[in-house]
Amino acid sequence: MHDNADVIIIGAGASGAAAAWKLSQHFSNVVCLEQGDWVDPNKYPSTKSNWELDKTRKFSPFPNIRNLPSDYPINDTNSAISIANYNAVGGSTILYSAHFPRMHPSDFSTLTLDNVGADWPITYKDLEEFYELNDQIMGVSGLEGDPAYPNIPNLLPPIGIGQIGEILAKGFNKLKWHWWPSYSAILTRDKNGRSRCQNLGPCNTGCPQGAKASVDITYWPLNLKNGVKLRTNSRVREIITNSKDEAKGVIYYDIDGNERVIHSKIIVLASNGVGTPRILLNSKSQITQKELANRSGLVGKNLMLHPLGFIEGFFSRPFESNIGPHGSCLLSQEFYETDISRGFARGFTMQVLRGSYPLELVKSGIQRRLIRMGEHHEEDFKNIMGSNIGISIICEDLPELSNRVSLDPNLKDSNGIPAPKIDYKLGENTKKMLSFGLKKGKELLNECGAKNIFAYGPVRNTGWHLMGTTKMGLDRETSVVNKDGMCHDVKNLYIVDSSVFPTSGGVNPESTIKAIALFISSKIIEHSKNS
Amino acid sequence: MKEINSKISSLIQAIIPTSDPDKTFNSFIKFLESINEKNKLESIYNAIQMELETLSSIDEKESFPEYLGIILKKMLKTHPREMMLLTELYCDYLYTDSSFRNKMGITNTSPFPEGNIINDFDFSLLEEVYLRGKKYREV
Repeated sequence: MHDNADVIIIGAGASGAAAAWKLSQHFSNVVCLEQGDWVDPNKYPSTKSNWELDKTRKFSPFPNIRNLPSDYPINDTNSAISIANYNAVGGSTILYSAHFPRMHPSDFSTLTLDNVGADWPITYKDLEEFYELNDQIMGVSGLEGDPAYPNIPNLLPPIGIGQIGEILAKGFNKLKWHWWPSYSAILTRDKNGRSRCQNLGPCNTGCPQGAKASVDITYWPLNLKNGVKLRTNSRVREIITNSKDEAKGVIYYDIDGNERVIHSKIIVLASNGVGTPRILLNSKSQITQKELANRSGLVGKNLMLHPLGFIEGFFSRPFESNIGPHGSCLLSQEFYETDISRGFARGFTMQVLRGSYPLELVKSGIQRRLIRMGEHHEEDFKNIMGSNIGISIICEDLPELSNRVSLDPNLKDSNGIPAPKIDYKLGENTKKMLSFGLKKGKELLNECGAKNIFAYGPVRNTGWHLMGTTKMGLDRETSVVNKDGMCHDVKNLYIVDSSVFPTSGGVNPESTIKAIALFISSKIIEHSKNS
Repeated sequence: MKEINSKISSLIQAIIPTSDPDKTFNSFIKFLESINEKNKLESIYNAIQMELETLSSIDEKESFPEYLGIILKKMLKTHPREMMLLTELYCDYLYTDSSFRNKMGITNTSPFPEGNIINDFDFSLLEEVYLRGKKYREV
């Protein structure tokens, strides 16, 4: 018996969830294949006393550490940055910190403006209505009037910045640098049946109260209501095509390892900047007999990861700095736009985080000799708990062909599917930017009166933002998908995740990922109506 | 094995002293077993075995805690990697234990179900940022 769908979506994470919501308003038979399963919020680490330990083990953001049945291995030994993801309904939004800034208008035209990177074939204006739509479904807090952005309306009140946030805000003001309360996909008012944030804290171990907007609790309930058929524990091996290189379906494995085939006239890839090129590289064009959708040779190339610097300041007294949503205090975009006098193009966001949690604090405190071993241990720990704050430098990463995802010749997942291999180095522009950012972070913390300051980067365990590996563009020779997200080589195959980003911007991509998924899905509907 | 246990037990007491009778070396071992990390302790022991030997001759001395401190410092220099790993494992054990966390005064970070209050901030701090005007580039 044939298994058919109007649309198959591969991946139930951020982009797949948003695409499913939009597409299910037009198509009656939308099937989503997800290699992971639902995660019960009652089982999040944050409900247990040993939550800090689980955070580094079965709820680690790194698949090579978790090694769950839903995970596939990733060879990232030749990468300066380890690759993070989470394979489940909700994807990486289960574990993200919900930092939710948009990209800037200039991010879409870096080649024209600054002679680096690439121009997107779409603009901020094109995405604006989808940013707003997504904000309403997710629930986004922040504050209107930010001079670093065009107006962002309908935000919920900002999350409190706490005592330490105020100290930093005053430091920013002394230096006359931009700062603003964080944009966060965290409710500060009850909304859509979800309750407001209680400042429990460790958002990146899953939010047990549902205030943080992971897509399993925002989009997916709506999707299921709309009739989307979600098949969990279903890992896609390849996309199959006919002799004209039209996609006709996918081959996947169910939970028991049985090989299954499902057919459809439209296929949507939503498997992130590593998973999506992996599937294409594992699929074959009937015309070229090579990797699917890869006549440009760009599938897997131009991988961008947002190299991250970290500056940590310890103050002379505790401020309960560790209280509150961890990734959402305030941000500065003083150095976001290009200023050539700095010695590099483009820029970065300074994201002010909360202080460390006890276990990570004690370990780093001992290593840095801020906490002594022996009889003074308790006293030292109590003196610095709640007294530190971290600042992330999120650098815009420029696309480079040598940074790429390919297939590892030896490594395979539990279904025998070749696993991805990552080759990634920081470009010269990024290195200069990172060094500048670390210097500026130290300057800020000095201005704020921090007693001890530590700065380092790139931080290896930060490969959350996976972008660029199936670039969007107008020219089929220099891009993989067109401005509507359709593969140049395969007319009924669309990509809706951050793989299509021609450039990375210098912000967390989560808001833009869903905006672009909604944008491309609206184009798919348009194409369907026109045909 | 019993002798090994007593020596490492003394050493970890020098790293983070705890008077809690429940925090025994055996419970540390059980904890390591529960997180599949017991093999790390064995490899640490193999690496620092020779230094541990010296402990057997001094464990009756009155100045034992001070002496342990000296041994610990020496071992941190001769085997920094193993000693930091031992320290981290011991921190994993203690700092994920409710009673120890309470003793250290970190109940306020209990993430669920209690919440925390963060006061609204002083919006006037933003005035000068706003007044400096637009920062993004028009395209």
